[in-house]
Amino acid sequence: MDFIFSVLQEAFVPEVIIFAMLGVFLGVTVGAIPGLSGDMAIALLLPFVYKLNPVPALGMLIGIYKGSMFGGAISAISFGVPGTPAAVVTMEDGYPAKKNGYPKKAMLTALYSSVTGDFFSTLLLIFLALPLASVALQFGPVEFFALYVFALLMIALLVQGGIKKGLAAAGIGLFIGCIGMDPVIGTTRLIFGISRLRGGIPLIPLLVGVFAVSELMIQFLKEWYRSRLKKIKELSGLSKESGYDPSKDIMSFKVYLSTLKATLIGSVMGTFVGALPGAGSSLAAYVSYGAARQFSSHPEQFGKGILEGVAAPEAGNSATCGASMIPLLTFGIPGSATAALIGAALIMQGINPGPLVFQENTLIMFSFFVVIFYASVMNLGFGYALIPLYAKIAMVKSRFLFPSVFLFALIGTYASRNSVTDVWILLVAGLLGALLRKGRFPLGPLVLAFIIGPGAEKALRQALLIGGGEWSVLLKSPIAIGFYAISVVSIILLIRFQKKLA
Amino acid sequence: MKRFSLNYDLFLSGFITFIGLAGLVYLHFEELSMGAGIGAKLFPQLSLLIMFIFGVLMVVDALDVKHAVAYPEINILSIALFMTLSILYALFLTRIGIITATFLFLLVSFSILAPKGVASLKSSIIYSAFLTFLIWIIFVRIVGIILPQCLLI
Repeated sequence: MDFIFSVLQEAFVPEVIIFAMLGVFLGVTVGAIPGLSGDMAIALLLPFVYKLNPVPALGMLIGIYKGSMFGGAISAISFGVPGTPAAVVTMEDGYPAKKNGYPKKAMLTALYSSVTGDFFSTLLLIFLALPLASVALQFGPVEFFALYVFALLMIALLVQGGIKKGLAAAGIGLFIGCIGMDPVIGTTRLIFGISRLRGGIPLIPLLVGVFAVSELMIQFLKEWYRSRLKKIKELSGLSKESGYDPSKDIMSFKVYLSTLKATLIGSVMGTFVGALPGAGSSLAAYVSYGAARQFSSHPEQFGKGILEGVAAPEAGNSATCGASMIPLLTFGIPGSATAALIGAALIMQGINPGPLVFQENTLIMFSFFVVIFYASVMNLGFGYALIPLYAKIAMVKSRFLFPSVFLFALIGTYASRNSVTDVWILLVAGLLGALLRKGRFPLGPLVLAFIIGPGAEKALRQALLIGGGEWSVLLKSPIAIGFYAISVVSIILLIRFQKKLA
Repeated sequence: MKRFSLNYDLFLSGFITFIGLAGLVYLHFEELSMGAGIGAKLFPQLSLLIMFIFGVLMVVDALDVKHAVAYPEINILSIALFMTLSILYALFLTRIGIITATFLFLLVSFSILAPKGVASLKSSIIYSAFLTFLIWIIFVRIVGIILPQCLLI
């Protein structure tokens, strides 16, 4: 009982509530602005995270994660411009619904289904995390290496951009993670005579560079290209639709119930997809939309503004929030790029995500669970009250936005360690990210490989030491064999599925 | 006979293949401690091998089919120009001063991003000054970053 009180006391400290609120507000805002994303906002805030206590820091980041999932729907429904990649699917029916005269219904359906999906996956996270973590405690280096291989393969297979590009990106991430001291005996390697690289490539400049700076660079250059072409036209969606009747556009409980089936389908699909390492919110939204259409009694209405077509992808993409934390908190392997960034924040706070996290940081982790819950309620409250404001923020002029956010990223990275070297690393990482984005390379595998690379190397080398240098030791554990078998089956199934699609 | 053309996919895949191969050669001649059992070379070699193998496969793909690149409106030259602007900012930040560097960067950026035909110098100056002040407040007064001694402010 005392423990429960301690957890609640920790979770409801005013500082935690304020930062969680700030996170949700920021998350919905960046999600609503096309070109900005939750990943980017989390990456941008990493330099400031370790100046905060762990629970408020995590509360703010999870708030951004949740908020951005719904935020993407705002501009998708209001203007037909998806705020985030996951909101592309929401736009399919959200924007037609708005044009049909139901903007409020579409927006609130997106909000309610988003929060429902999020609640569903958070519940699952809380009930699954502890048992899975205790299973993970039985793992030795052989099993962990197999799990790392499985996670890397899954993230490379499931991301958009193709298997080869996914694996090549993972190779780049692993290589960058090898720079500096090796994690077993401390030998310096691959520093090419640059003594400042002895400690390895720091996490913040790499993550901010790859996720935020590269995207800002792309958006800046797109804006520049557009500015040279012609005067920017006002988005057609800004004008009020003629013949709009507010009395017909009222969201009721009955309307919510009519979309509940699609919301639940989205919640289940999103949770499943989100728990797979690397699958991410876009895939969850697509899968949820497809499944909802399959099971709908009006499949022909999809794409024409049916509210089920808004509810399913929104529930699906938001359900990845809690689900993607399951592999992070139990095995130390992030389920998505955003979870990888939250994993990085945990590491910066001195908390090692993995099977021991609940034993070593019991109070912090249980308080975090409470914060995850009430951040969903905040998301609902903010979303309901501030939808009109968010829609206005979404139209902020990008020519003022992108350069300012870029400077925020650059100075923020410098501020994290007062290091000019970090700024150069940030710019190089940004350039690398932009070149890869242009080639349609997924960046998730790169970041995931960079983060789990040292752990995977340690596990491999320890396993080989135990086996006296014999590689066959990697196949001596049934759990490890299971992971390799699932990896092989997944590759075969995915290749067959892709061939079928082609 | 199919005509060979250097597209972006081919360039990028070729570059990844080259880095993979060059890295493997470099590591072959690099003397790293072997440590107990397995050495420090193993994992870098594995990562470079992955880059090399999938780089080659992507080169084959790029030769066969011309893939569509993302953001066709953005070319290497414009990326290089952006990088130059960023590098100049980073140099100015640590040598000239945060206020001057930030104001100049924002003014140049806002001006070049202004839509064609829109007279925007005045608004660019106002927004640049306001945002410079905001950035200064956040980073210098609130966060308290320490910058090297600069020529100006």
